[in-house]
Amino acid sequence: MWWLMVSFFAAILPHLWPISSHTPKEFVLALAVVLVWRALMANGKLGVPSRVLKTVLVVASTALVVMSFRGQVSLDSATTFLAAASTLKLLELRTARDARILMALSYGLLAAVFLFEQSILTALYGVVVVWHVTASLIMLHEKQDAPSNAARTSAWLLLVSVPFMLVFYVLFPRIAPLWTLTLQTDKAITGLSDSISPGDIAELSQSDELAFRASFSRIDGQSSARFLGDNPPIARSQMYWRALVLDAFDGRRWQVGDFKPSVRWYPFEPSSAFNNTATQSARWEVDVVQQASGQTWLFGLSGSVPDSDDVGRTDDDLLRTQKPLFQSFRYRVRWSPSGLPEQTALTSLERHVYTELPKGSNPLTARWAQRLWLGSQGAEDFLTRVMRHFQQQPFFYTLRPPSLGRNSVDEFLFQTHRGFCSHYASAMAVIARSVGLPARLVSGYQGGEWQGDDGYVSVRQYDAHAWLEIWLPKRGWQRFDPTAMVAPHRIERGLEDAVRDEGTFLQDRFFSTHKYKHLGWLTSLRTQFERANYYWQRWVLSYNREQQQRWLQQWLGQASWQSVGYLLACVVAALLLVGMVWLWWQRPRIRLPQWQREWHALQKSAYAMGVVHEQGVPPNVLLDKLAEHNPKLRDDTTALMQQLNAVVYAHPATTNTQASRMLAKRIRRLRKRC
Amino acid sequence: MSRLPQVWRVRWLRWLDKRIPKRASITLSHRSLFIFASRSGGSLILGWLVIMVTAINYQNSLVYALAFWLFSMGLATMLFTFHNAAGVTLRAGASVSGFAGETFMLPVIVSSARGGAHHSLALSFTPQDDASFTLISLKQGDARTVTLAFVPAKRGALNSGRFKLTSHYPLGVFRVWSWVQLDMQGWVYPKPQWVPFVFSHASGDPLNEPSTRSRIQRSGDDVQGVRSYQEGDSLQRIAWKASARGKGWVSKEMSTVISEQCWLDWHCTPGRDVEQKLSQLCAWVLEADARGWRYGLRLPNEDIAPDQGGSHKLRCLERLARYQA
Repeated sequence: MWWLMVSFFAAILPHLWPISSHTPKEFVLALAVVLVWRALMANGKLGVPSRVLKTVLVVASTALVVMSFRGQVSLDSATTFLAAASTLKLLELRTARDARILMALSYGLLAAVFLFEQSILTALYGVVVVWHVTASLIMLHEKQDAPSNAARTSAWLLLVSVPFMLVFYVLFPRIAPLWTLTLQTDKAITGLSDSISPGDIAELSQSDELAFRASFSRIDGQSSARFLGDNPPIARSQMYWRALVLDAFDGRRWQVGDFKPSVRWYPFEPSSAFNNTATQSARWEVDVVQQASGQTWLFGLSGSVPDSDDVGRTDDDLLRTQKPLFQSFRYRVRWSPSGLPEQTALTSLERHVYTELPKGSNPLTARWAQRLWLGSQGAEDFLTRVMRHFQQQPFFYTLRPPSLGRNSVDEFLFQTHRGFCSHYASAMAVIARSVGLPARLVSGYQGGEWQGDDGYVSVRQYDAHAWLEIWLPKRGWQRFDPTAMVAPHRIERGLEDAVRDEGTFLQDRFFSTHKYKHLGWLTSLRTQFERANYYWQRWVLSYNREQQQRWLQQWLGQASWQSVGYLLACVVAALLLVGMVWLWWQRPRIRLPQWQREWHALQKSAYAMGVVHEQGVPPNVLLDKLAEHNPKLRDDTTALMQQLNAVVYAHPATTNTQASRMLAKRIRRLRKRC
Repeated sequence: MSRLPQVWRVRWLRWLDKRIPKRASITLSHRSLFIFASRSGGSLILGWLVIMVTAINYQNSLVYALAFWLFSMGLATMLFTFHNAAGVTLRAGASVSGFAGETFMLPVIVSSARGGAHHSLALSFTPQDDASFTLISLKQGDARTVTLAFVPAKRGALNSGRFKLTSHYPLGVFRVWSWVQLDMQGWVYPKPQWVPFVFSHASGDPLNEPSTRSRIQRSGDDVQGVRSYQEGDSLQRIAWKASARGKGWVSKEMSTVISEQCWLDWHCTPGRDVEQKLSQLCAWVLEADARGWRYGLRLPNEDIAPDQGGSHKLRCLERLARYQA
């Protein structure tokens, strides 16, 4: 009973802590009440709830779930409902059947945990829960044994199932979802947002959560090899991971405008330009494992072309997925440093969108820009001057900028001079638009931590960055990052270096290991853990339909699903055969002494002659019958009977192998004669 | 088994007799064991299905892994369940006799042929009734005797038919079972049916029934003294009070050392058919023994000379049990 309760509690615990964001607080309280009640019931201090009370509880808890989610059907509400239903089942735990249902629900609760969290630690915890729940099930069917035996059997059962599981995991066809799910979690995920106003990215810079990891493979003809080395294949200062293009400005806030560029999805149509030029000339394959973001945007270097299912590329050079990511996602893109052949002209609509400024906002900036424009020779000269302005004037890179009012750019450029990436990018975009140059803000991540031994770069939320792109005739969209003028460290070495004097790096995060990089052992521990996590995500979590196809192609050549099905069946049959051989090996083997086997043979041949020897009748009866049947055997049977008595009734200590061998011989001779 | 139509049932039993013949002892193996998915695993299978659908719809690798692990465990339990029952040796225990319609408690000795542990074996003669099974577990090297309740319908040599051994261990997803028939020793006596004694007049016996009866009846009342218990003394003659004083078993000594005797005659029973007559004779034997009479049994094909005591009673009852017209 207690094992059952512990099993159930272990399965429901993660829903209360630490991934409790989807569980309403009222529910936690209700669960505690039910658990205490159940414990008192087990002690006999409280009775079993009556039928009426149970009905009331079911109705009340359903109402509670519906109310706290306002009737929404979502992953959160479904999970809470499952948790509530299984908790109530706890009160109705009378028969073995109830207990089995509760354990089935516990497995279900564990599966629900995995929908929210898939880290290695969660998986390890899951293994413990599966083990415990299975042990409880075994105890249901073996009440007389010690729990430790059930626990051992459970572990043993889980262990022998691992080969089966691996085979199924690798070979079982990953079919498409049976029906489209609109269920999503409301879980708050740290990450970029689709608008930037002054101060936004500073909050993100206080988070050391992982955004994604990317590895690079150089493509040489058909083969590709993962890049390993002390330095990343692309200079850190060139790693601009694009996520969003913000084109609409209201004087203070940049956001994604109404102008929606079209998306082309992988696999591309045969006629698509991506198929021949871009993909062929690409020299790198970038393999990204992205964390759950709750959004559809992916991160790619400028000019990336998707090479994975369900990944698309927009006309403004961004990567997208079909559905928001609520679990980690692995995708590949092809990328070449020389970039893609860019579009050569803007439509009039695009020109209008990318130069629009709200009327009357930031007047000082507009006037200053126009004055500078008059003194410049062409757009490029103008932009160089603007960049130099940021470099030469006393601008400061800080994560604690003074707050800005309505005309944020004016205040920033001419009064405060303090800010970080979004301030600089925003200011320069407004300057460019003021003189009619098409400009847009780009947000994403810049840089990342290169792990040379394993060849991947890990990009964290504090690497979030904003820069801008300006359209130059004949050259297309060009990247400008004024932040690099003010704080070159930010681009070349990362945020930590850039704000070292200020001490604002992860200042709210006391426990972040990233803050204690000077402690060597801590860093190496963290690195090891992250490395394990990376391979976990890369090889285990992101094993989906596409990975499966790639993998099977690599090992089996062009494998159809049918042949994979056969392979799966064969491997499972082989494993079952191994099990059966084990059973056969374990069978009781009783080897009778030779004379007894001879005696059985004699019985058989006597039976064939019509002389029946009944069970439990002494041997002399058979021998007499045989002698009656064939009087010539009389002498033999008499002698045999004596010998038989001598062997059978001999003292065990004096058992004579010689005598029993002689006996066997004699019985055989008798059998031959009759 | 009982829900099958008669024709199939007969065939099934015949096949079973060939497959698992009646033996004094049997060791369960692939020859005698059946295994199939169990109804009690239904909730687990349903839960598994939900997890599997969740895995497919959310394309979640860990949920996939869980679903596959549970499925593999289900497959593996098939081997575990079978292994748990294979190698169990069942042997018929001491012989048991009793009356038809009575509950016999048949001893079965359960041990392991490979000396291992066996868990949660349910043994029962009435598979329909879930409540009436005997549940045992064997520890390593253990041998245990269980008694199984069995109600024989017909008199004769004890033929218990098949009993069922079932096990759901370890998870209840699979059920392994066997229909075992052990060669149980014992007699089923006719069900006693009491009618007043009738003694024969025309049999030409030297016995004068009415007088005998009255004398015997009188003699039963007189207790002359006590003597130490001898085997065969009926329970009614034990001096319980004296025995309770702790000086060993003591029997009452009756005043009459019976010289007169009576015959319990087949032809005097009022029953209409053989079974009824046997039942009535059975009741007479019991009553005569209880009264301490000296009685003989007269059946159409044989007589048992008058005698008295426990072993005489058993001899008479056994003769009634195996009477064949």
